[in-house]
Amino acid sequence: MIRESYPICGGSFENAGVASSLLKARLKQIGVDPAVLRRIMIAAYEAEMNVVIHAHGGNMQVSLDDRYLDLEVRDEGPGIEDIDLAVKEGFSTAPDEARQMGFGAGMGLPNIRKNSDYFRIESQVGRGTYIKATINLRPCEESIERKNSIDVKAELCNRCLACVRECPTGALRVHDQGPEVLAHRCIDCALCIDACGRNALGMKSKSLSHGVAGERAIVVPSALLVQFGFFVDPEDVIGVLGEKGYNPVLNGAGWEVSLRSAVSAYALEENSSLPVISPVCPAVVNLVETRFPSLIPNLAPFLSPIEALLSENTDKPALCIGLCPAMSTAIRAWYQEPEVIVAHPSMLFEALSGSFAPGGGVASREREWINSKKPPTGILIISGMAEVNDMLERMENADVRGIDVVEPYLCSYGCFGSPLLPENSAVAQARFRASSLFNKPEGRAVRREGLYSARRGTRLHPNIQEAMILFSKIDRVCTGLPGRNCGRCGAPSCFALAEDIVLGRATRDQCVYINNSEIKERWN
Amino acid sequence: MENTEKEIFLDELAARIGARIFNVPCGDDRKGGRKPVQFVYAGDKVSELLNAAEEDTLLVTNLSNPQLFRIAELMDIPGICLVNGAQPPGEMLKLVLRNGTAILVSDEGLFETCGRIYGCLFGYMRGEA
Repeated sequence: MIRESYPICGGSFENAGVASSLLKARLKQIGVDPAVLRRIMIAAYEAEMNVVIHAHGGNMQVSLDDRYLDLEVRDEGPGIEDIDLAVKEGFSTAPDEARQMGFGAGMGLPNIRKNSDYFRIESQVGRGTYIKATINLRPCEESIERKNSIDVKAELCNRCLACVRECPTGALRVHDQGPEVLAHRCIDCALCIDACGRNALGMKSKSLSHGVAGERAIVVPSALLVQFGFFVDPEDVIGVLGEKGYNPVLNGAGWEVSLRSAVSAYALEENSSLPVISPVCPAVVNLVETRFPSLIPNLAPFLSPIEALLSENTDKPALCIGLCPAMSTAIRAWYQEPEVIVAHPSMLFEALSGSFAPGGGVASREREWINSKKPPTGILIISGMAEVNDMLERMENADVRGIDVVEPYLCSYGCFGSPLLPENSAVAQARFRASSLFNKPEGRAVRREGLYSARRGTRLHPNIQEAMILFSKIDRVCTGLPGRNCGRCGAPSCFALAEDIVLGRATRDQCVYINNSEIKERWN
Repeated sequence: MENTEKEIFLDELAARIGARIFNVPCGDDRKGGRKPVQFVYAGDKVSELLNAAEEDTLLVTNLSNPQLFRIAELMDIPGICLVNGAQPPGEMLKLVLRNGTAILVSDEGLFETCGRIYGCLFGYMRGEA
């Protein structure tokens, strides 16, 4: 961890930019990637110039570790009256002197925001302004090593290939020694977990018993609160968790409502690409970034409800129950232990075992709901991998008209369908909608600063020319394979095996048709 | 922002648009003063120039204050083209030249200069391409 502080003289253009210049020299010594350095310098220079133009003086503080750089700029200036207005492009209160020098385009704060992954601004009129910009030192498109949250227990695998066939992005391979997840392709959709009948695949999480977690806030996705049989209202579950020592007990229900209305409002904005895709499901976001990069502009720039909830809970360490691998990965990308611990739903079930009498089915008031209440209007909720994939394909072909907002979930029935949950997903959803938490406006939507970027996941090489050479090699190898896509080699298709061969992940004799003369003869 | 679709060296460009060039290349050292550019961006707003400043972009601007050179230093751009025969401030010039940024000074205005650069890159101007 490195911490540096640079003073900024306000009001004088003479030394303006010196702090940024010193910072640059330092970061160059450290060897920060040039593309990242560029983003940092834009943010730092714009922030510094804001102090020079508007304030009497201030200070730039920089701290960095191996993952993030935090840029904090404080000033003792006049403060900002209307922050929402100040961050709008084109709004500026710069004096004429600054405008003559080319400043005052009203691009300063938007520029900082655009070039940082997290951006916060606080201001008090008459007191000063504080800006914090966090920049990921390894930009998403550069890091080929991606994190995911699929856990492999190879000893339980019987090499049935169910996961290989189910995986929508071709990220799974089954070798003799068990399954392997290619992290750069995995979108954490959990279909493989659902497909595996032997629990060889699961969600990566900290194994801990609930006693460890005292003194922490607990963050519970709403779908978890309706897993305890009928008659058990989510509020009751929250109450029991409070008795077990968690304080506060935060649930995502209200935040989902806020996100929904924020996304609907965003769809009405002038320059949004319709239909807008709600980022409610992090696995869908991953899918868009991997398979449908042309739809990235359609993703509404907000955090998912649980991420938003966590970003507002800054004062207390939290235990977050990860509902699915995608949610866990999204949280672990931003928060480190022990600040936020991500736990498996089973931990919650263990903590609450014996608190509620088990009972499946739907209570009478829930039956009433099924007959009377209607789902929210004006937005299209789609769930399930096949449906979502089909919708995104149609959107990519511009074949979707008259729909403004799409709210896609990769699991059937939304988060209620997570394979890590025991209750039937339709029943859980009905129970939730009949509960006191349904449509309760709480929490708020939080804008996402580090915006979406296409994943290089399926690209073969960072250099496009190299990638094309590799591609033609793969094509050539593929023509020498039988083309039956049987999966016996452990790759989902002959093309995937060809890719593995070219990239050194597999050898040609893994193909049973090539390796076994008897089979070869029978099929030829 | 115009993509030149091929690299052009700044000393060559300066000669063809009739601009003076500071930080003249020594020999054929491409890493020194003789830097190729692939993009050209013209503007008069610091924030816009900052956004456009990449390591293969020539900035053309009618600004010529120290802040402009600060951008050049921070963003590692290959060159800046000043217009209206602007005299770059001495101190800042030293700083920028040390950094390896080439300074072009055109005696024409921003419009005329951009027109010449465009013509030079795309050969649309009669007699010059």
